Amino acid sequence: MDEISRRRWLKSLLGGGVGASILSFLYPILSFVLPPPTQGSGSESQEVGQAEELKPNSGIVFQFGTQPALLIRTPEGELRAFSALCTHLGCTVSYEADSKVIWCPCHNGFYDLHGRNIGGPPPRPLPEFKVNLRDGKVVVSKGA
Amino acid sequence: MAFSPRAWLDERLDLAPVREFVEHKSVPIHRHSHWYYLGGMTLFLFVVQAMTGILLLLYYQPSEANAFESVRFIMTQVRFGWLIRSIHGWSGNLLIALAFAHMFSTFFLKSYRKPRELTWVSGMLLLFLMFAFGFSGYLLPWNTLSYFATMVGTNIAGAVPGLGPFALRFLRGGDAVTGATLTRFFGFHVAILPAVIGPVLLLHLLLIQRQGMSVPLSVEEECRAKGTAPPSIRFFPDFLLRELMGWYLALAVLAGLAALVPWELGVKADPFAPAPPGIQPEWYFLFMFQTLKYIPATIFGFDGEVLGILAFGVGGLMVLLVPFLDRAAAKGMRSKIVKRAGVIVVIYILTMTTVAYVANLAR
Amino acid sequence: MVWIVWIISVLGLSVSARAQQQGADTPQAAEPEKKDTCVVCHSNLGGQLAVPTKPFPTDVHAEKGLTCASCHGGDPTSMDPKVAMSPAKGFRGRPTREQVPEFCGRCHSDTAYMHRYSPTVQTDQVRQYYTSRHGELLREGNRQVATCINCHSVHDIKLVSDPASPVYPTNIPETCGQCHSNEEYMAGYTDLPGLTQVADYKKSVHYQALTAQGNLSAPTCVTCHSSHGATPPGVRSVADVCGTCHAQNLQFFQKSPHAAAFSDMGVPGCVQCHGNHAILPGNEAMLAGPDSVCMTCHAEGDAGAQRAEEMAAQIRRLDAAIQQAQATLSDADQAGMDVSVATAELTMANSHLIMSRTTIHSLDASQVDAEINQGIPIAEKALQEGRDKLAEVQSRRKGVALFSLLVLAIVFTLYLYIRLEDKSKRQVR
Repeated sequence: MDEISRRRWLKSLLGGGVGASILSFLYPILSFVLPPPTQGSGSESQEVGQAEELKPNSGIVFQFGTQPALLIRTPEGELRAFSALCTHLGCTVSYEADSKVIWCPCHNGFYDLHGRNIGGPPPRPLPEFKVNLRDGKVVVSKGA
Repeated sequence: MAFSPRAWLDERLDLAPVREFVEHKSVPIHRHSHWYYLGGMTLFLFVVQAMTGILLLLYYQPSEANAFESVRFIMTQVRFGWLIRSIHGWSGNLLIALAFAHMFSTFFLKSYRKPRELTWVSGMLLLFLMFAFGFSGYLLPWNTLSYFATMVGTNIAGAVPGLGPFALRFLRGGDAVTGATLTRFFGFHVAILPAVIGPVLLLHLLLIQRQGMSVPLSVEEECRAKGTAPPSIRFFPDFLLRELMGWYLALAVLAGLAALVPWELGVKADPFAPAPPGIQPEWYFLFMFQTLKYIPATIFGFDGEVLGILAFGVGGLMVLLVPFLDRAAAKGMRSKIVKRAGVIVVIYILTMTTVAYVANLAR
Repeated sequence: MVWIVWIISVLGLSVSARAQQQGADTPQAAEPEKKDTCVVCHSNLGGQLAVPTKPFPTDVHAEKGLTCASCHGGDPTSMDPKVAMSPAKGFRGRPTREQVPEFCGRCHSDTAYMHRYSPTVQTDQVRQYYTSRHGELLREGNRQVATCINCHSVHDIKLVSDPASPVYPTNIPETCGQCHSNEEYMAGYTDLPGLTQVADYKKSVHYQALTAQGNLSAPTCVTCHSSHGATPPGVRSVADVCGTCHAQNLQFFQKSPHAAAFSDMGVPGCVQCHGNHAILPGNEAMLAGPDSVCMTCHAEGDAGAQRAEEMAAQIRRLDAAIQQAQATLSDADQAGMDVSVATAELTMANSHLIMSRTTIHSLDASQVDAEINQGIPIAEKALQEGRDKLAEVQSRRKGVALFSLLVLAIVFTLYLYIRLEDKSKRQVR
């Protein structure tokens, strides 16, 4: 192959390669720039579901970031949310509709509906989270 | 007439001097000219840092409550977030390593001699600014290592006599390392330091364009003896194409590191937890850190640590002023003392860094 | 003229200063000077008589403002021993062992008095004490048995919540052990089931929780035996004692066939399988296998043994599923992926595992199954997430490998191009 055509061949190969590399930079960068489908920075706040689905005097445990959390609707209808990690040894607490308390099955620990530890081994109250409504959905956030 | 962008611009801006410059910029080629690549490589990695940093800015949240989670978000939820963040971390370290290599190569080749003293000084300032970038950036993920390394580092700054307490409060935004420190370091890292490094970098590069590449004394002597100038190649496109090879390889290395040795997330910083054993700063500070550990508590009645810090300060100043201290180089002669001092410094840095790593492993 | 004003103000200031000082010297108007002559004489007398005086300032009673006379009576203002220690002045002297409970109870059983210091403090300690074996024996004239001062110490008494107190939770085993582990001291008490209780307790999971984990709500001797009414729980009440914390286990047990069966046989509920002092963590190893507790009563192959095998098998299934998920997540973590969410979800599966071990007490395999069937899907989901993350690691590596190949191709092409250019330039030159 003579030099000129070899040079032209190499030049177009190079151009193609560099072009391909530029695409290989642009694709990740553009994907990065487009926000991912999941919401914001995870642990700040989380949607838990439709507000009207949670009846008074009931509670649900849900995953809030890396920890379980408890959302309750008191018998009076108020929504409250707490960390569901029992402050004794970390078991997951649940809402007891019959006795209207938050209960930990592991060692029979009790918390009142404000998260205060009122019976059994737990040494501290449950941390409380903020509950807000947005478009009919319950949003639980850690809040400062 | 066919439209030519070049002609359009030329009409308005007179690109003739630019064209002149581009056509005539050349790079001398000799047995030491491979070292010339280091400067361009350092610049390339700096650009990579700036670009990945800007991308990270789109998702990072600089508050005590959110910083760690936002970095986790980038690593796990954002598409290619793992790639951008790991590259930012690795490239930062590679950048400083290369900056050291570039500095030592110009040192031993005596590129700092007249008329390039300002290039050396601006280059040293760039290195110090990069340390500042590294130190401020290290806190931003707000994990245990970040938090305690920052605490140790700012404590050392605070130990300097006179300015120390002021420096400590200035750096920390208070008396302890808190969310205020994080915000402040973020401000340094993305606004203040870039604003400062910009003009210094521009100066450094402009000086090089103006003065061309320095040829080592040995090559100069040979050419003088032969009565010729060293052979050279054009910068555009020849030298640049060669540099491009290096840059592509660097990108491949960075991508490989991002995939095989991802930058770790760590554990969110807990200011109330005790410091884990073996907290040490990033590797480029290790030789100083390890030295301070070996200095006795008091020397002739003075605080040993303070003396150590001051010694490093004086050392840094001497390195900054090397072109003015090395009288021989100014006259075009070699100084054995300066060369030996440089060798000792390199060996010292390498040894102390290794010792720090081994000592930490042993623990 | 000015100097008159000056003199008057100086005099005025000095008078008011003197009045202030006098006021400081006499805090409560016409009260006599507080000098505790008990301490003065006894500390000077030295030897055995001085022993109570040294530690007493650290005693909680002293901190509340009480003195020797508050308990022992007498007149602490008089230096004359005949007056200071006269029964006319209310001197009670040193109580005998039999008198100790009443001596302390003079205040500690007086609700109105004690509630001045703490509105919620108990005041039935002495009454409880006499229901205990210690109290019974004391009334029979036994002088060896424990009274208030043996556990609470004397003259350096601390609150129960003070870590220096012998009855602070972590100190209780040693305090009870002073007698109950001492063979010489307890020689002659034939109705005791041995003296290994404290040593056994120290092997237990409760002791671990108390000391290694610092969990002060972990049961100590007094949690099950009561502190003042110290009596062994009876056969029927053992399950109730354990059930104060382990309520679920108790509920299941009471609904199970074992409840009636054990009661008929006169066998203590929880203790029969778990022991009373050396209680170790319970799991399915106690059901089936070489350490099976069930086989102490059941025969190979009988209904009970079969149930035990079924339950153990199910629980082991969930345990294995969780372990597998854990291992995979750990691998993904090592490879640099973030597995915190999946790990957190796996703890839910772990909750079901713990619950399934609790459900064993119902002896109903279907109830155990219900828990297992809730836990398994969670463990499987976590396992899948771990596998997905590992797959993601592989795909990232592949992507980067492809990119590296592209880079090598470009670099190689560059190399050839540069060489070509150099050659043509050399030809031109």
